[in-house]
Amino acid sequence: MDETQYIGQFKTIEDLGDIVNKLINDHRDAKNGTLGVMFRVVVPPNKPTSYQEGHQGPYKLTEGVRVCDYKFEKSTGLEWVIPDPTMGLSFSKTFSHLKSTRKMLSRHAKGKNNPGPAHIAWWILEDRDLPQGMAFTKDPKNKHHYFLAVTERMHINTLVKNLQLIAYKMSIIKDLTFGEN
Amino acid sequence: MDFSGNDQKAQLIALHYANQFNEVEVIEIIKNNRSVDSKKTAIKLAKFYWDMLDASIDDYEKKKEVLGEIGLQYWMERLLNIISGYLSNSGYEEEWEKVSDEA
Repeated sequence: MDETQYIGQFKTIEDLGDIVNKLINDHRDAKNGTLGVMFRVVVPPNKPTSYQEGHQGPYKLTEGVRVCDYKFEKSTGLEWVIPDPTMGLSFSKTFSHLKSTRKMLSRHAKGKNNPGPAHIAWWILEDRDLPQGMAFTKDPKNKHHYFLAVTERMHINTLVKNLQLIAYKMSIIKDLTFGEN
Repeated sequence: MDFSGNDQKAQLIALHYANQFNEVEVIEIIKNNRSVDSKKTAIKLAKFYWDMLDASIDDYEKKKEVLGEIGLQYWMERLLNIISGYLSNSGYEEEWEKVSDEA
């Protein structure tokens, strides 16, 4: 499958805010609260919906999925994922939430005194449906945060395929706030 | 603050660092013995989050175990959502954003 394409870049947080807020305005009907665009922070060399070995923090990876992000059926080891609306990859609904999350992950990636770039990927909901068995679910603790959750028992291979399909259709802008990388 | 569901460990981790910093007021908020009812307290809680994040990164770099784990990135993500969500629901979203921009 092709790599996700970078469609732009940002050199300052203000640049990023302009891009994100324009996307929100273009795709979200704020009056009825319909979701339009979901944003995700991606610390390279990770991909929009998967991690690379050595870049997943202290967590075990299976097929590019961090085992802390989904609920696995204990009796099957890491073979089957079971639904939990409060687990899944993190997405932001607002620029404010995205900005905090980006700062946190950027600092976490390489140490607080050596923060690194964190690209921003997004999914426009009105353009296409998520694969069957996947849904954005609101974090009950934070209205600006959503999980990309599984809604039905799913084999890890299916989850991986679904996440790849989603990544393939996401747009991504490159973080150049630390210079070229 | 809501630590229900899968987030009970997040409360223990927040308490660990609040105790380490001797943040008495924050400890009471995390224990849900008091709520944030002023801008000053909201700013204190928001600052606590970013100080906790830096302390947890330090611990990770030193391979120090905290509550049975080395590296708390997942829990720091959850605590960001829990604490900023709580401040937002309490009417202190502006304070969270200002502190976060300056952190």
